[in-house]
Amino acid sequence: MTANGWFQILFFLLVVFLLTRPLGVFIARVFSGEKTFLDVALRPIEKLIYRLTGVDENHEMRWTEYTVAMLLFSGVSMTLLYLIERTQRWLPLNPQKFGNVDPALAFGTAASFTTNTNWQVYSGESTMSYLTQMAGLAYHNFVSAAVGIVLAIVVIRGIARRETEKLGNFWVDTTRCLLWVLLPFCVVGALVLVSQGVVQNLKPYTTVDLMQPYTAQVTGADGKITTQAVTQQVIAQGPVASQEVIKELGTNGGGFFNANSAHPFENPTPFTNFFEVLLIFAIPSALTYTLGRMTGCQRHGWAIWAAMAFLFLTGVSTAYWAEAKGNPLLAGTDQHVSAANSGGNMEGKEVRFGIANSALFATVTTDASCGAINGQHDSFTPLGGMVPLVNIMLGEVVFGGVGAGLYGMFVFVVLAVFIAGLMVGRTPEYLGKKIESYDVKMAMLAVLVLTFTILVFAAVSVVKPYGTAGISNPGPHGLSQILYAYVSSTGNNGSAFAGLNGNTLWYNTTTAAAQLLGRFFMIIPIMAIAGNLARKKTVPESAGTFPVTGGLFSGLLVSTVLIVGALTFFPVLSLGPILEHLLMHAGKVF
Amino acid sequence: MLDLIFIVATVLFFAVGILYVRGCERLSVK
Repeated sequence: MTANGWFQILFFLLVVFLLTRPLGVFIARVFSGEKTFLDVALRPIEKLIYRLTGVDENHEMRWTEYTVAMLLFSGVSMTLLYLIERTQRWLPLNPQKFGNVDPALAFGTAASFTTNTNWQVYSGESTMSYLTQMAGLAYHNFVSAAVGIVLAIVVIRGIARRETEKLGNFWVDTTRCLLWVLLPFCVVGALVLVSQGVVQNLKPYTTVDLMQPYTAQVTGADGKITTQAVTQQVIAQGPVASQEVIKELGTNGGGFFNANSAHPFENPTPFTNFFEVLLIFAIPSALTYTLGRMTGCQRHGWAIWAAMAFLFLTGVSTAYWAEAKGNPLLAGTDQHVSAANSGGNMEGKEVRFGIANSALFATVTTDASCGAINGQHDSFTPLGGMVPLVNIMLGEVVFGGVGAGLYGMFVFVVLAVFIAGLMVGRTPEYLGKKIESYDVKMAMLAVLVLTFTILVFAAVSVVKPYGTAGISNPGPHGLSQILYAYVSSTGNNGSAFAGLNGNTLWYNTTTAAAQLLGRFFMIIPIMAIAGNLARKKTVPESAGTFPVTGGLFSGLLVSTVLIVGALTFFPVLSLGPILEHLLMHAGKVF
Repeated sequence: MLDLIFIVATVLFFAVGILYVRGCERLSVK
């Protein structure tokens, strides 16, 4: 580890902290109907959309109507994406003449982008037409992010409002989120990326002559290996910047290119690397301030921010330490930092970014439900690779996905105040609302659906041949690959332990099922809690009320997150990355 | 054929989701 590396990580956290308040205030104003500097330009467009679609912006919905509207919107959007993929061959904007996407892959991808997961078992540059990338995938990057944000706003309204059934209008909230929050920032962000060298065009790919031709061994259709001279290269390009910015700002993670943010056309400079990790945390961090502002308890928002920041620092420190330490089995290799050597474990990492920025990116992308990568998590050391895995297992509540992080943390808040209430022998309260058995039951349903989905699918995959056929390494590392696939899918992260071949009927359909269950079957009970809280009266704070504003609450919240995660997943982690770490020190690698 | 299966599966999933919403609501009324 170097002072320079630590400076970059801490500077990143400082900028996130500084962005939290202004962006949080802006988001609160957008969803509270207060004036913003964008109203002059956007309000007429918003009114026109409502007139064309017949939406009554003054109609407020109960939690059930809101949730059903969200489900119908997601279902129709998912079907449309599936149809675009299956018919792209006959649609415009396909200069490379790509064929229709295979049904299982199209289904998996449609589920993946609808759920904000962006799990990709294809190479975008050799599979998807420009129309599919823009009207299918990037469209979902926007709307799935908007859905996450508006659901978090509903949870906040559920806490803030009292004795009401009304929690807002799904269509109005989603429209405002797209027009005020996501589109303006993405337009500016895309221009920033273009200024740094991220490509943005609709041209066919360019074929160029190599300055240094080389020979390569190629396996033919008959299985015979022949040697061929490679003299040309096809340079893939397309509308990358417009997709790149929402990929991070919306914590989606699906790259235009297979190499994702390790590709120089997606992430060309150290500045874009910093900018991209900042985009991932920007909205999730700001929403903690929005929570405090809209509930009238700013210190509660900061207490949650502090708990998230602590968990983030713990994760990034572990990943940085493990990767900087290197591989003990490479005893004859110089793994020390010097002017000419980045040191540590550089396998699978971009030399342009080095260890600190790879560890930072891996931690941020899995703290949030982003899934973009600038290095291969599969090539991290066992403990370094365990950090992304554990981050997702904890529910991606460390700032988390846009909206999803906050409503995921809300579940742990409910559990934390419930535990605190048990300890002091009082009915638990949360910001003046009594937390009762229904709320805790719903919170547990939200937690259990994740656990059940991950462990059941992973267990079946490790004992069935169609599951083990996908792994590229035996032993504990193979287990980690399978586990990561379902953890990432259920957590709607989308990053991969790249060694797994997920483009099979089994993995395409089961990861899609995991993504859908992990997204929507977690959301429904959380919305039920929000609806139930909104109906309740506010009770005045008393001497026995457990405060949700200080260090004690932050500590209890961190403990709840860690204990739930540790109790649930420690056995399988022991058989995967922990065992692999111990065996590595015993001289065995996988 | 696979197209039909996947589209029906999508419709079924979201239909079950709507039933889940109703189930959670009924639980709160009790």
